Amino acid sequence: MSTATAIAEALFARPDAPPSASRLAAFDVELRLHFRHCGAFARTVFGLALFVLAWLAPLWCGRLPPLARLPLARRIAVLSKIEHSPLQAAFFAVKAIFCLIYFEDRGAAVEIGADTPAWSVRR
Amino acid sequence: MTGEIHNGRSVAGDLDLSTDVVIVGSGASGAVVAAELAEAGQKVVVLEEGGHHLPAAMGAMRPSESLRHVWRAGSMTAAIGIGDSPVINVMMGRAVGGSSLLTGGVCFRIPEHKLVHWSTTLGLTELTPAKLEPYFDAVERAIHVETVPETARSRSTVLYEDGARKLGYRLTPLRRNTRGCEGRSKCNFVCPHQAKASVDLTYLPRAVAAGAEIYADCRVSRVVPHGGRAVGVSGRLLDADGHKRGHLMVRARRVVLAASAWYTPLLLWNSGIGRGSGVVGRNMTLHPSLRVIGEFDEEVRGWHGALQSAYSDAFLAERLTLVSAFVPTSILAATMPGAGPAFMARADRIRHLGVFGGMIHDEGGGRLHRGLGREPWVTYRMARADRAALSRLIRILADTWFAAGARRVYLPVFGLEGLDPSALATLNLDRIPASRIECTSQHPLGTCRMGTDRAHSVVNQDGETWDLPGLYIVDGSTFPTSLGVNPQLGIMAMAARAALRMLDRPLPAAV
Repeated sequence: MSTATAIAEALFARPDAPPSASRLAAFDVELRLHFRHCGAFARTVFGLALFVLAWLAPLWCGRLPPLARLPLARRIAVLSKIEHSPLQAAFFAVKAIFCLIYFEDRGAAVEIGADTPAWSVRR
Repeated sequence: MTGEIHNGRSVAGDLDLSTDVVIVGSGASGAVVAAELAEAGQKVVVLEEGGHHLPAAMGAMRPSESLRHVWRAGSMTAAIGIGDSPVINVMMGRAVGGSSLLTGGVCFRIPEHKLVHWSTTLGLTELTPAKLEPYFDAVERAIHVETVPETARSRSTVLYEDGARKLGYRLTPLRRNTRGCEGRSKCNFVCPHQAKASVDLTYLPRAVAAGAEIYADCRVSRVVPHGGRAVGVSGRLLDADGHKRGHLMVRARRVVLAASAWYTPLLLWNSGIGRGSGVVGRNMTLHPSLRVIGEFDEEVRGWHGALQSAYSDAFLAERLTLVSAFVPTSILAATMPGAGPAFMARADRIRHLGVFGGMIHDEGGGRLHRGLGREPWVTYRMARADRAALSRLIRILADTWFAAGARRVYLPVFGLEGLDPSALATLNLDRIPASRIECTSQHPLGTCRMGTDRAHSVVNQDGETWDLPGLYIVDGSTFPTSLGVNPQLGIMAMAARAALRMLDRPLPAAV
């Protein structure tokens, strides 16, 4: 599992289950598309933020990195804790982009009660 | 003779042009100058680093698509806080039309007290309210500035106004450059139905109709001097993903920079211009902005209604302007704290959230530095008074939400849980490190400021650089102070004025 998918699975997990594999796969495709077109600077900044979450965040929380190898519950705990740490900016940057892309999935948007005008969701 | 919009990505080999005037940047200021000069009969070439997208195609983009195709650097541009200062995410456009594609459409004239300060204290005698009024009038007509009707307000704004009334202050309708706005709350990601009169729908078509040639995908890296004056620009053509392709050279009798307060200083540095004053890239003001979210028992669905419809200047004495705002639902969800089930439980409540924002009339403290590659890095040291204003702004917005009946508020503090009134009352906002406060900006200004002498400024009152005759700067970088209001209209009016001043002077001979 890639770092990005591992983070998305933890970030968007509900009490009963993580997001479905198909939704995560679609998210992964869209994320790759995003970073192919957003420019070198954005890729660099985002890559740094992902590196921080993959390697430094687990260490900060007393866990062995990388984040993607941790069980789901531990990943959620690490991300929750990192939001209150000096590494929080990295988490916020990743969370903003991930939410933007994840909630453009029609099913995900409907689940949180968002209306779904044509321009807001993937067709 | 009609011009055309060209895609630089489709140009084979290098691009070598000669023209009367070359304008770098196709946003709010560059578009105005292009239209004015082209309509006066001058041969104009506009160079834009971003791509050219048809308005309907941009309107149909999802927010994430807009982020990667229209926003600069996928929204990753930010000013890094120094000392007790927040990191400020700065939104800019990178496409034909520039940041005008991404504004909320809010149009304020430069406040009269600012112009009085500029024209008296700073000695900019040409910038009096009376002298600028015709330019404001003309631009407002051209971009269809209208008052947002109260019926266009979202439920979020209606609720906020109720709270404001209870606390003894009122909201005033905003004016925006719109025509037939349907209230989709997507302005910051390009209007889905072209109701926002951004320059790609107004000034640029005028410029093209008058013969201007616009080239997208053209990254200008330096101004070319010759014989003690500016005679052109050089750079590179880009492909669809921003990678370098052929070389670009445009020879011109006059050069106009309209690349924003973020990039114009880089062009000057790359060209060895403006070193004398030592102010290039300094004095950046940002209008640090934030939002506070109120959570209600009722369903608010604040994304139905105009993104921005009302404001309050009740706290002007404290250098604060309150402005209504909203965001697409996916962004709204991202503002909720937490991860996993706790986060998703909050995201499930987005229908119940109201959003209101505000900005600080900051004293400056931003500074550009050369970065590795094309992008500068920007630092921002917030003045102590501005830091205090930040806390005050958050407190006003939160108190107003509670007065409106909100059950809890979410402050723009990374990781902070929602607060009920008692939790807010005991929270000392001044003790929260500013680095935890989530700030944004759409208004970088002041990095090549206008002045009356070359020792303390970069351009004169006509917008012409002191160091290199024939080189003009017309974007927000020339503003000598922050405005305290959205600057789009002010930038456009100042650009219109600069264009007419250029027309007053004959074009120099071609080199």
